[in-house]
Amino acid sequence: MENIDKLLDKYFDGITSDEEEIILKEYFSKEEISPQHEMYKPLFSAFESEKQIVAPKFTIPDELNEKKSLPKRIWITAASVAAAILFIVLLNPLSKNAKTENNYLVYINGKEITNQEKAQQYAEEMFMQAEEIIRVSYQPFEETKAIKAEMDADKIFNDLSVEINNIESIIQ
Amino acid sequence: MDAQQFQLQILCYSDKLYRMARSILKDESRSQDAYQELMTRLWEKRKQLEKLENPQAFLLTSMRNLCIDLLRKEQENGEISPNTEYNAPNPYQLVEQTNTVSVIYKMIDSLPEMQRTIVRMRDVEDLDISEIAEVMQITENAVMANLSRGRKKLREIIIAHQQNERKVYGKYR
Repeated sequence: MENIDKLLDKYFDGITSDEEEIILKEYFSKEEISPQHEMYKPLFSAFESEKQIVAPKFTIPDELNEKKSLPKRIWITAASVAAAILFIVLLNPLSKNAKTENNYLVYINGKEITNQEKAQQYAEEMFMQAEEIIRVSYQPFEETKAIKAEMDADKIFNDLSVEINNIESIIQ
Repeated sequence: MDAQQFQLQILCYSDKLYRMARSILKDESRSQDAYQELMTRLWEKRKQLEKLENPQAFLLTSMRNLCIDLLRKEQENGEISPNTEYNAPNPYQLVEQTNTVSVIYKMIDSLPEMQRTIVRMRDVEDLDISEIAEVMQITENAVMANLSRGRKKLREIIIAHQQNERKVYGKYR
């Protein structure tokens, strides 16, 4: 019993080893324990009964039915087109951004630019970049088309027939 | 990670995660929601889960962070009050509280979140001090200090509760 008292003191000081805690838990799982330890029994019983609590069921979503997000390149294309439209709007002399009819003013990346040439040059650069992005985005589609054309069943069949005829003529 | 791997490598920690949510949120239905939300998020990010070195610690930390975020939002919105103190029951409540285990749950729930989470990880989940330190993202010394404070506080409450019980029942004997 003295041993249990010491272990309990250590336990409540938070310095018991794994082995000592096992001894304590086994002791408190017994039906009959020393009366002076009775008051701690519910604590150890509470821990044991908490171990029985189980999680609600989680149903894994069906992988096939999951909404697939659009491919990245579609977003890049959409962003490029939006950027191009934005520049057209900003460069429009009738735009509300123009202070007067005579003064030329556009905002590029938040900066006021009054030099029309500079602004047009910048816009052209952006158009070229956007075109390049669009071209790169469509590259995979073009490649797929080319592969499809190569995979033409009739063509393959014809080629094979020619090949077979050749072989047959050699054998004969 | 496919559904089968998710089942084997992630859902095997479900019970521990759900108990963690219950310990922090102190409410069954909110804990169920938090658990479902964590699992849904994990499923969506299942590709990244393949590289985990210590999935148990990662999952428990994620569950704790999610619950603490929920509590913070609720507190900001004035929906719940911060941690409540354990109040000794009056004689009428004492008679009603026949289930001593539920009294203990209330005592544990009265501890600050850090202490009760550490006490439960040690005594219910049987985690090592080093594992708890990883989950809580604190040093092992800090875990020991919190464990000691939490358990001492529980001992004080248990002794006070027993004295109170003796006083009340003593009158009627």
